[in-house]
Amino acid sequence: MRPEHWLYTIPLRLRSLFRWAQADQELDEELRDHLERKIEEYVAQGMTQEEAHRRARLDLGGMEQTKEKCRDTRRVNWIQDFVQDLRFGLRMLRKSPGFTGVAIFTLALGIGATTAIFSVVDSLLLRPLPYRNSHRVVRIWNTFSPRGMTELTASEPEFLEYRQSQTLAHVAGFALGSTTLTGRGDPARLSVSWGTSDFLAVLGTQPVLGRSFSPDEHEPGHDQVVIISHHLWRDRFGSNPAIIGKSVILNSKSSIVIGVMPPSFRFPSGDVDLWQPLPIAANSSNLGNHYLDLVGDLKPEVSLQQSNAEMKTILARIEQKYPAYYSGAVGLGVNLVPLREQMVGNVRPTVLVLMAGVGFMLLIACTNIAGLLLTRGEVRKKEIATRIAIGAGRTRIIRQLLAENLLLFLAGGAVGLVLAFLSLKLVPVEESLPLQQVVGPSLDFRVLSFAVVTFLTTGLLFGLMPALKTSHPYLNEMLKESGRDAMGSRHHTRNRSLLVMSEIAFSVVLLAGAGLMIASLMRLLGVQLGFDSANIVTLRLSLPELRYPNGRFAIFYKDFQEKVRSIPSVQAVAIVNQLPMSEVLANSSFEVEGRQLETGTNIANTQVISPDYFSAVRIPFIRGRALDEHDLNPAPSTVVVNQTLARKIWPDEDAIGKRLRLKSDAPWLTVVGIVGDIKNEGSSKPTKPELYFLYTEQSFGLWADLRSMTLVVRTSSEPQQLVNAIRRELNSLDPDLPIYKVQTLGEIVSASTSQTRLPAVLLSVFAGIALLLAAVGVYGVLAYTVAQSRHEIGVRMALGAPRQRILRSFLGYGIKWAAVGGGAGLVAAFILVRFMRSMLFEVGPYDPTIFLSVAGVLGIVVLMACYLPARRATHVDPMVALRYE
Amino acid sequence: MSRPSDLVQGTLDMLLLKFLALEPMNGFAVSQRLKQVSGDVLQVSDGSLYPALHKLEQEGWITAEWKTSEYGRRAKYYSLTRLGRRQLEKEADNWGRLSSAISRVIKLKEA
Repeated sequence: MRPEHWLYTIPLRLRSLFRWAQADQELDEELRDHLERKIEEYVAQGMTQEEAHRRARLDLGGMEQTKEKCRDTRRVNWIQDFVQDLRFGLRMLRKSPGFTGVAIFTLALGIGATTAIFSVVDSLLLRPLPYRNSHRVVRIWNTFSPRGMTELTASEPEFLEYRQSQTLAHVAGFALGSTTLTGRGDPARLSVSWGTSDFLAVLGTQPVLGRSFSPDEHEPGHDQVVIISHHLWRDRFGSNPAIIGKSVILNSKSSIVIGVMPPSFRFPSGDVDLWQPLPIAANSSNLGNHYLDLVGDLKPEVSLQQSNAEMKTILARIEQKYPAYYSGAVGLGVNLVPLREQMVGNVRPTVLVLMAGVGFMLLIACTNIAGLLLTRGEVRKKEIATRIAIGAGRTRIIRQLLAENLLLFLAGGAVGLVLAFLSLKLVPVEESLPLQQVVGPSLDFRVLSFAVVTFLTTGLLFGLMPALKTSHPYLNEMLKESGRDAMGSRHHTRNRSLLVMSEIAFSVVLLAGAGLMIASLMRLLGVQLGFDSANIVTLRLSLPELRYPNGRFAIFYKDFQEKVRSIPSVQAVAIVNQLPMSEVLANSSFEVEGRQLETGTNIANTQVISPDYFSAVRIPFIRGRALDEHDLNPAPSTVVVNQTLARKIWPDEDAIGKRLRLKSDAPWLTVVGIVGDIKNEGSSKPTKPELYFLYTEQSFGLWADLRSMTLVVRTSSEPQQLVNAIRRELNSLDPDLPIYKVQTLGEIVSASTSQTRLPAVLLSVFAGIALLLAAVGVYGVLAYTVAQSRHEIGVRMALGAPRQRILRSFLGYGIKWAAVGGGAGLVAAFILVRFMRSMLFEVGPYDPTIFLSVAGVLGIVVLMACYLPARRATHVDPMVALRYE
Repeated sequence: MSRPSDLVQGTLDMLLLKFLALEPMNGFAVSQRLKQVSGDVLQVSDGSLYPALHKLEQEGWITAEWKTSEYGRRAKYYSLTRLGRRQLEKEADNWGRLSSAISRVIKLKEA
């Protein structure tokens, strides 16, 4: 089209669109003028007035039809028609508020849930991570195949070699920890990420305010600078830009704030408050301390495989450089993992299964609506036949019905968006999915477009079918028959049966998925944890090294426990360095007196505790006694082991009295007690060998940060109240110490099952809704069939058919639907459940009990939904039914 | 939009453009002229004529204007636009080529 063309046509279009009344008026005048002239001409030829009139009209081929054809030439006609259709649709929908309400609510559930889940899928799997290099960023892990370890952190010398890589543009190391901010309001415990010089360059992100670290700030002694997170800047410093260049007190030392990161920067995690330099000496030979998390970005033209291969050669070089250190570690490897994979790899099946589940629910909702629309179409047949008879084209009717149906889907979509918004606010998805690392789900443009596309496609697909069926042109039959189905009745029943059966099939798939997740969750919740998490409040403290040098911190913790013990509601107090089920547990190798242990068997989790720990969390003693302050002389001389360790190391002997040590230069420790196994690493993980040591400042060969400890309090009072009381006691000891990670042990345990609970709960909700919708669908279709068959039922009853027969013949429909739909659903479920394998716990994906229960539940629900309409069929009065014409 | 079956696709448009190229006229005059000129060979019903005129107008090839006619009656007069003139040339060209080609085929002698 040329611009000149538009010059002529655009004003015409606008005129037809906005001044259509005038355009119509002119059309009317033009044709009337033509008629008049024509009549005059015919009269002049000698016809009578009437004859001329008739002929002229006949020539024009129907005034209204011609007008409509002329209107059709206006290109914008469809817009007017569409607006008109929408108005009409709105009127029709308002006329039956019950139908409209049910339909909109059903669609809102489907579209809302789908949109909410999609927003989660989008933020976890689809949306690019908010870093310039995000698709090229990889995590670099050492692996150790003999023990199945895939994510080992690196040492400084390893980092220095990996940094030489030619395939990675940068390699950076980082370590996570925490620090205490004082001097600005209440002391706060903040999460820190220390990173080597290229840390920010790897991700390609610059601070939004201030500057990045300069090279010399990564020299030891010049590193007292800090970049703060956007949320810390906002919450602690009131978003004041003047903070740049000011100093803050971190762990009793002063650091200069040089920058603020953008809010989207969430590396390594969204809860990091501060970033600080991590100076590493270029000649470091600290081989033993593997504390560095490594991250790098692939050069643009390099593939993951190429870089992986190069890193392997670098590792080989490292092993040659330090043969003494690495000779004992045959099987060491290196592996690169793309950043997204690292963040969400383990929840990918969960979110995809949820997306599929919610998709099935949406399909059922739409199918249900299609069924409702079909039934409604039957009722409106006469209206439509009348409209066809007075000149409406079939496409016009279809367009009108489609507009009406789309209106329903639009309303459903709008309400659904509200539901999605609410559910994102109310459902604690963050607890189970790693959303802190990505930009969390929100109803932004992408999600809104998804919702719009969803309602448009479903609306077109599921709205078009009923519109096509309803507008079919068996005009005469429809006008003749009086509301009863005549022509195409079998055909229509088949359509509706098909809809109902697919609804049943979709629900079966959902039911099977939900059943498997619920069974897993039950098993998981039924696991004996080995300790009692009820009524336990935990909180963590970290003592700054400057104010609590060696010789001071153990005394502090002793005093603190005494103070807390004096709070009236407190029943027991203890400290421990790592809580069950909470974080990655520290472990250590050990030696046993008089024996040489194989590599791999001499590793145990290590807990440092105060003597009352076992009684506070109620870990039972199998044999022997607890640790005792008197065991210190002043170095510890005793140790408690768990059953697994005792069985593994001394299978045929009594472990009590045996001795072990952590290093060859550490003191021997005598085993004085064996405690029951606890699920220390989470309900679904097997218990590992464990060692419990008495809390002391004296070294006995264990590397642990003993200044950071968790207080464990068994109490009869409400947690928050207790925490306030503890805070008061702490203030009397040291007002500058923050307490953090305040949780009940119950919350920790519950969080450890959330990976299973979230999909279990959501899939159950989806399956429940699906089943309800399917039941409504079954009920509706059968009720309609019964209503349409009143005549037939009347005849059969008049001919002597017993009521039981009638009941059975209608229940027969339900049984057929349940059998065919359910069968298809079971087959589909069988194919699909294997994608859930990694989400299940102690339940096989093909668990026969669950599949049988699903079939049973479905059968019962379908029969119940069928019973009411079927019974209504038996109450048909033959006289009434036969007279009803 | 239905077309008279005995007119080759698109030729009605061309004829109408041609008439209006000669002089602006109203719909009734066009229908009269069609009959006169073609000697009743081309049967175009009034029911097809008006939609065809409206289509040409919407394409921007002709433009309409309300004028008072010689008998003091208000009527809608159509006239050709610059675009319409170009369109007519194009269609006439096409038509010439098509009809001469067809004539050549028809005049082929049987071997």
